[in-house]
Amino acid sequence: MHIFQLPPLHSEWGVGIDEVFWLSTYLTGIAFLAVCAILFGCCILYRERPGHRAAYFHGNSKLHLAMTGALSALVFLGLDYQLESRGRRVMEAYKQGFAAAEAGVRVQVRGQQFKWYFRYHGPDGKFGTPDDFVTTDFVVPVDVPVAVQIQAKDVIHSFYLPFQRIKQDAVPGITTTAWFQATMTSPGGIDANGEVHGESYEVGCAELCGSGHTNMRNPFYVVPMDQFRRWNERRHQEELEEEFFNMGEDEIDTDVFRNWGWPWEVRSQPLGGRAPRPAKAGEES
Amino acid sequence: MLRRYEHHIHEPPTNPIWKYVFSYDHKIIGIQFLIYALFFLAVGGLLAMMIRWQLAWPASLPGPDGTILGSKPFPILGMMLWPNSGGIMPPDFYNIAVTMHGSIMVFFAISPLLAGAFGNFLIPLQIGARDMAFPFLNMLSFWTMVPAGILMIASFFVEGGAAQSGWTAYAPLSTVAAPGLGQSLWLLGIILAGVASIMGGTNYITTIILYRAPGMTMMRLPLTIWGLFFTAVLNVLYLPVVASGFMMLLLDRHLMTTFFTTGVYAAAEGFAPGGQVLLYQHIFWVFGHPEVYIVILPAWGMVSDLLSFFARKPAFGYRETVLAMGMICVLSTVVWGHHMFVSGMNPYLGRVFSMATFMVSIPSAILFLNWLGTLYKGSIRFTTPMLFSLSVIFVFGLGGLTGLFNGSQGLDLYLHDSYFVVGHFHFTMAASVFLGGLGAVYFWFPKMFGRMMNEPLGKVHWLLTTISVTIVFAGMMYVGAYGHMRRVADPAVYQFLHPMLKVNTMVSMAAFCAFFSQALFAANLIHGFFAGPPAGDNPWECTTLEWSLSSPPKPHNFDEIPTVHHGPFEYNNPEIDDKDWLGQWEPPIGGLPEAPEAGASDDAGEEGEE
Repeated sequence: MHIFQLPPLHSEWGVGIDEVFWLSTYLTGIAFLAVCAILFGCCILYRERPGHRAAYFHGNSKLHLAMTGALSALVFLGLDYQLESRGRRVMEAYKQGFAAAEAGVRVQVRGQQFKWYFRYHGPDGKFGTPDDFVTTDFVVPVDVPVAVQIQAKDVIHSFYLPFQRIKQDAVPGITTTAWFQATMTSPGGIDANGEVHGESYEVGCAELCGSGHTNMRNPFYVVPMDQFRRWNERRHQEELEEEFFNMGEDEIDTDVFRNWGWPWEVRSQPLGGRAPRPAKAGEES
Repeated sequence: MLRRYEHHIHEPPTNPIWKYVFSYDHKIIGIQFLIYALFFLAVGGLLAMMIRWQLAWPASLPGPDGTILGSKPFPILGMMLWPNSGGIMPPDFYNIAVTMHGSIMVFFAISPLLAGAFGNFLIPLQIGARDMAFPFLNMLSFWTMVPAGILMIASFFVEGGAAQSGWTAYAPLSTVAAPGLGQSLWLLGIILAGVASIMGGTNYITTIILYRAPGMTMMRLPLTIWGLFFTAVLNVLYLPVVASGFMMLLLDRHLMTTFFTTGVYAAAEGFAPGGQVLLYQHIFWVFGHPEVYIVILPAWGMVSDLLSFFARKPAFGYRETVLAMGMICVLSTVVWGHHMFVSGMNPYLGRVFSMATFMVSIPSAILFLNWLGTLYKGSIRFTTPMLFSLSVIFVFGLGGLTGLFNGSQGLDLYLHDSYFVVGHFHFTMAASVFLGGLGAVYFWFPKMFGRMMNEPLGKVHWLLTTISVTIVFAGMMYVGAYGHMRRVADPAVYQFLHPMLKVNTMVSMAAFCAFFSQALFAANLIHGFFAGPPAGDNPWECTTLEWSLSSPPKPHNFDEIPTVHHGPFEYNNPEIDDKDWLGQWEPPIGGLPEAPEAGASDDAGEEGEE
């Protein structure tokens, strides 16, 4: 029986997260067991019984002060320093991996009540051009770093990929960034016609955003690169033909659906949000 | 040196309105806060049961062969509230339940229980005063809580229902995305509760500094008073911050300001640009983090005292405990960003906040050292208050240590807004504070009401409560580690969470057990109040000043203010023969000193102003 169970790990960088998690579990577990051992031990050994008198000391002798100092040093070096330095290294790796992700696949993500929308840049490689297309399926190639820039339309949402161990708030008024590299394909993928089929992973929303927050789940497909290209082509083709996407029962208002996006902002590192710079003349928003 | 103050003795009022309703007597006000807190504890607990009911049987709960079993109707209340759905909770009510459970528990249940009830009742008694520095302000502080509570309850009944944006009320969800009166009444209610706490905090600080008995130096105060003192300082400093933030939310909601409004709402309504969503989060969490220490500090103080009293041994490392509590207070003011690691805040800020957060573990470890050092070589009496204090060590150990997971900026990328965080803060805020508060009730009930509660029933209540809350919050941490998000009314929507659905159901069962176990406590309270055996002055054989008085004390507490010669931890001093304790009001072991003691207050015995 595990103390904890983590979900499947499909991320190379995410290995660091799991390592810090298990290190935290072991170190804090040792500390907790020590506390429990002393607690239960004292309750058993020092219960009130005839002929047994409590000791009388206030704990302010030099020995006790030394114990306080020693415990502080032990907690600082054995717990705090270990966990903080390991956690910081994971963060550094996250920041450093971002440059490669920006050179990889880029997707713009917009959260709104109560669905995620994903904008791909199309064949010209630029966002904000007519060959962009927008989907509610999040499709990425496997073993390729993917950078996402995230905005929110209305309230705060949070872009969450549990198996890749990333979470980034989508905040109205600023653009936040994240990246990941998926290491396992989803059960379902892209069929010969370039459409998604089969069982997907899931994108979740991890910030309360209203009454539909619990339903803010989008399909997330991780597919081999050739399938990813095929899917891109199919979407681009559809965009050219200006077909309405069939998203099920929901009616899609193309203005709302398509009329967002921003010029991709080159960032040196992920996480920090920044207000998008205003669109220049001739640049579509 | 500060001069000492002392109230005159005067006749108590005879009119029941002034004696029991708008009382100026800190003991009556304390009992008023106790009843108030227990009422809202029940309301908050009921809301928690509604949350757990929905999580046990969510709307997309899968059945065998791919069918959907779905939600079950909530018992009794379900059909009353939602007849159209057959008694099944709608998703927006789930968000109401989550929001109101959190805010009612934090602002209307546990703070009024610990700081309000016990702060008011104990501070003058334990420092040797006849009442608080400002008795009229004290009465006002309770009666400001009453409209605050009414506003919270009323918010359930307005159109659109009560607030639904979480107890954190992040903008813009709580501003332009929450039309209707519910959120505004919530904001007003909490602002009023904050005003009441500021009044109380001012009173506590002034009383503790200026109204101590002669010889009661700050370092001879019970640790309960130190905990309440630090709580009051944090309250007074930080409640104005959250009140300002909530005022700004009200302005955004009603007066078309754009402090936090941006995005499509601002554009659509023609608002002026310039709002910053993150500004709200900073304002809220600058208060929000000290708030969680406001909630726990009285419990720490009480547990530190009770462990000593029932181990019949001085509190180990008293000075270090005071310093540790003070250090935690200071540190708590510079760690708020650990709630915002993935918020879009500058990641370099995140690094600073992460380091500061880890530092909190050092004074916390010192607290544990001193608690365990108090037990070591003691002679432990397993009374109900002692059992609760021991279980606080256990649950706070679990909760505090899991803070080290969340404090890591890297790990929080995964754990943020998951049930791991919920489990962590419930262990530290709910379990520790609730168990500590229950222990405090059992301990001071005899002094408040002159009767004893039933010990065996108390022990059964303790066992059931401790075991069930441990299962509940450990289960939350388990599903949270697996990636279960917070505040989702229907986790079964997510395929990846399906392995955790049974754990959710088990956690809910344990929560129902915890809730219904409190019936034992209610029965014990009621029976004890009406028919408990008379308590006498000092049933627990304890040393703090309140145990030198009758149970309950006279309205003016002390006929003559005692002179204090030692701290409250003179247990099993080898120089005492006849009993194993020496009260703080008793003369010192070697006899009274001939000259005034060095370190005693300057103006011993001087009649001060009222």
